[in-house]
Amino acid sequence: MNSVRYPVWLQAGVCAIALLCLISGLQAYRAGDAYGRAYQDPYMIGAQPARLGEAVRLLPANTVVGYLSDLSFTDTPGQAAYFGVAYALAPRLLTRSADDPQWVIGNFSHPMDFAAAGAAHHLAIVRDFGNGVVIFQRRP
Amino acid sequence: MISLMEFLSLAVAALLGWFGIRLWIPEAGGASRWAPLLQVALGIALGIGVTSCLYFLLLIAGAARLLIVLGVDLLALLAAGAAWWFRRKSTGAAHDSSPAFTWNWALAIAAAAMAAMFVTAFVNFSEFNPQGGWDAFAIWNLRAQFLLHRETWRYAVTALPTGTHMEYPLLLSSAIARGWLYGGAAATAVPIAIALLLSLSLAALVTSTLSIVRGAAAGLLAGLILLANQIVFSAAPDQYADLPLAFFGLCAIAILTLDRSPRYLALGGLFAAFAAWTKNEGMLLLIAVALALLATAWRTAGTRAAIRQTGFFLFGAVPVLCLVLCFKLFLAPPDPLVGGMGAGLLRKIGDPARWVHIVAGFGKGLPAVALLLLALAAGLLRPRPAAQRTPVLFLPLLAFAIILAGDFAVFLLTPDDVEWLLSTALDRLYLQLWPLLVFATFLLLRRPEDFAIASAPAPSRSKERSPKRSRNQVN
Repeated sequence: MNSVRYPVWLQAGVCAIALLCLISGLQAYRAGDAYGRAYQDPYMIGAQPARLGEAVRLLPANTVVGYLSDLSFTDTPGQAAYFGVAYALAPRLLTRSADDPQWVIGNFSHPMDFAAAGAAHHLAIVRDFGNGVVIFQRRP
Repeated sequence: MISLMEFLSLAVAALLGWFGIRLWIPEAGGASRWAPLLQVALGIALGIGVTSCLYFLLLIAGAARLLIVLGVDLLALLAAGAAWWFRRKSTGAAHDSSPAFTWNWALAIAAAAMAAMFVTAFVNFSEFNPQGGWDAFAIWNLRAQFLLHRETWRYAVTALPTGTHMEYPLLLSSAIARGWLYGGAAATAVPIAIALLLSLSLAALVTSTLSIVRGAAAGLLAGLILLANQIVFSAAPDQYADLPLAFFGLCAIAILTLDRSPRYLALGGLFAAFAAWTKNEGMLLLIAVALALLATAWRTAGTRAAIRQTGFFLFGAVPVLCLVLCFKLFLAPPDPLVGGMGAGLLRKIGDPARWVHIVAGFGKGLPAVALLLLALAAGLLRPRPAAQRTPVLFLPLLAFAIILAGDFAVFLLTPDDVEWLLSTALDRLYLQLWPLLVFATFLLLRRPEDFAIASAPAPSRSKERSPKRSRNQVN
């Protein structure tokens, strides 16, 4: 029976590539771990259900809800704030418009005149839950 | 922690798919000891794809209640299981005829260590960020929440201004919603488990397929290089759809690499259609694989055989492709990317600065370390001799080239800001292509086993020191 050998350069090369792969994998592991620890839920998506819980209970199930905020959709913080609310409200549908839906949720980053903000869209405050969360309803 | 019912949803899907693979292509992988791993990986793809489509169809039919979905799943599982039981044949003991590369044991340990690192990184990241990355909570999991309820599924395809991509296909969101329906709540464990399952299956698919067709050393090395890409580590726990898309696409290509009989071709078409039902880029993948199949079959067997093979491939794709087309035509809102491409078409094509900018952007975004490792492997093993390079082996590379050209065209014609697209989408496009590139490369390289030096057993030590210098190709 014949035995089989392999050139040393091949054996060394294959082992070296495998080792480099492991090093690269280890670096990816460490980078991912460091990033994950440093930026735990960076957009605070997981925090929204607790923050919005009471307000969500006030909204009818499965309805379309409008959105009103002082944060711009064009910026990442504004978009993140919007999607955090959208995820917490689902399966209610959150739209970016505050002009059409009967129910609108306000999500504000600063204290301001919420009533005036709502009035600009023909909305009346139903309840201010604090922490920048306000539920509006369309005026008849 | 995943609940029992959530786990059951995945186990039923995987088992159903496995039975499907064993029934449809029982000989897949032959007698190789890697065949079971291949069948498991393909089974997971088939199971997740089929149950996701079934769930969506039940949902739009208004019948997506737990009892009905569970009943349909279990009935299908029982039927497939019974059919497998009665038709099962002993395939004999697993064996690989070619002599193994000396360091296969070390490669296997390295691959196991890499897989362990990947899983640990995935679990750690998911613990810190169970909601996943941006697209997970803004697109896939958000839409899955709508698909969880019969009353709200249309919200997943609404044209109202929601800021998300309601025009994207729904395989992943449907699979997540199905898991949530089993579990009774929209828990983060389900999308996390699906992301992990599909990512590991992708690695298993690359490793097992290449181990079967090119030997264990090539398969293990390819699996190692696949996971040595940092973006694979980060994208998996982000729960993006790009890895599932890459997985379904590679299932199609792996199947076509294994065999070109009608059953394999049809199954390849089905997997490619699953890719199209996962993400819009999947449609490009389906077209690319069909064109690559047509071209390679034409070069190998002539026009009639090429048309016949492509016909079987498309025949397999038809059921899910119909779902995708119906979705696009009747349910989904218009795609802003497609709609905006026509504007200033000639100006964009005729703008050399735009071409240069995109080429530079494509170059800048390359995963350098992972590509370097792949290049090192290619340099070490070298391409197969010309006599061995049949057109069939070029299918993955051709599909890769077509997809890359298609992606480039999208960047060229996009109505969006190119700079923004390069910074946000390019790494994910490379992620979609990375498994395909690794697979295509190793298919065209020599195997470590090809460098074997055969020598007769030496009767004395002096002879042992002077083995024959001729290189015999093993297998």
